Amino acid sequence: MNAGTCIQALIGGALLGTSASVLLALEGTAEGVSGMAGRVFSTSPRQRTSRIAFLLGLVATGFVWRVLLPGAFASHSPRALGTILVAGVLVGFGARLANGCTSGHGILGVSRFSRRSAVATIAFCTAAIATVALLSPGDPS
Amino acid sequence: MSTAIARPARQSLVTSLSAGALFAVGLTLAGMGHPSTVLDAFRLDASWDPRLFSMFFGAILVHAPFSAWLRRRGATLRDEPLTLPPARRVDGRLVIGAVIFGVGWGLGGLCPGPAFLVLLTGAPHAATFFAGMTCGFCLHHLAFERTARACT
Repeated sequence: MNAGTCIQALIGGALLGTSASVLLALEGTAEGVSGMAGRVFSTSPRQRTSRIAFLLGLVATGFVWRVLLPGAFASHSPRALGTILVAGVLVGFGARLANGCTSGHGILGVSRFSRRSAVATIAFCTAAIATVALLSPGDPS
Repeated sequence: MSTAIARPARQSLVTSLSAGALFAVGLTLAGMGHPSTVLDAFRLDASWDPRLFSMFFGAILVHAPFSAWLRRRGATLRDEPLTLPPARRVDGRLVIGAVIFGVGWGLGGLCPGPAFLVLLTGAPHAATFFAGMTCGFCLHHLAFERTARACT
């Protein structure tokens, strides 16, 4: 892994922080992706509009980028599809149970120095490290 | 909040759509279009890929000071109230949920943001993961939210 891609990831992260700041500054909301997606049909019409628009912007940009620069996206995963299906269920259920995911706790919550988010972030990173170690010891994907 | 409802929905739509697009660009630059970027970040050996953590660092570096400033200000730039999650205590549900989430994250290399990002890229893992994640949301809804006003 070279320094260039690491700096690119740092800039990518700064854009995530900017996106979160735009939503907080103009919409007054601090919601991660699982919070938006898991509650897309709930609460006020305005929040619904905001959530659907955000997710639409995310999906559409991914699609356009894939068409223009296909190399940015994997066409195959190192994991079997059955494993991925189970992974999806766990991620969806766990994120809602914990009231947040990588973006909600890891970025938004940690940025507010929330103790809950710090605990959640340490817990899900530790669980992910353990899972990767158990599933594929010494087998780079 | 009558002021909040009166504000044109179009403004909210454009803001959120732009924020979503910006989020997608950020994730893609950080390599989140590849589940292997995440899996390699959690594999603590010679193949360790620091990009996931580099991304976290960049995001917090920008958002933490901005969020602190805005919370001190106490209102949005449109002078509307902030709706932040209430400060609650660490409980079992939080920790168990986070561990379940982490196991899934380590299995698939995807979390909700990237799952939406790659949804229409045509990759089999993208649609599969998304279907599973939607089931997970629904399971939680059926188990815990049915009595709440969440399905209005």
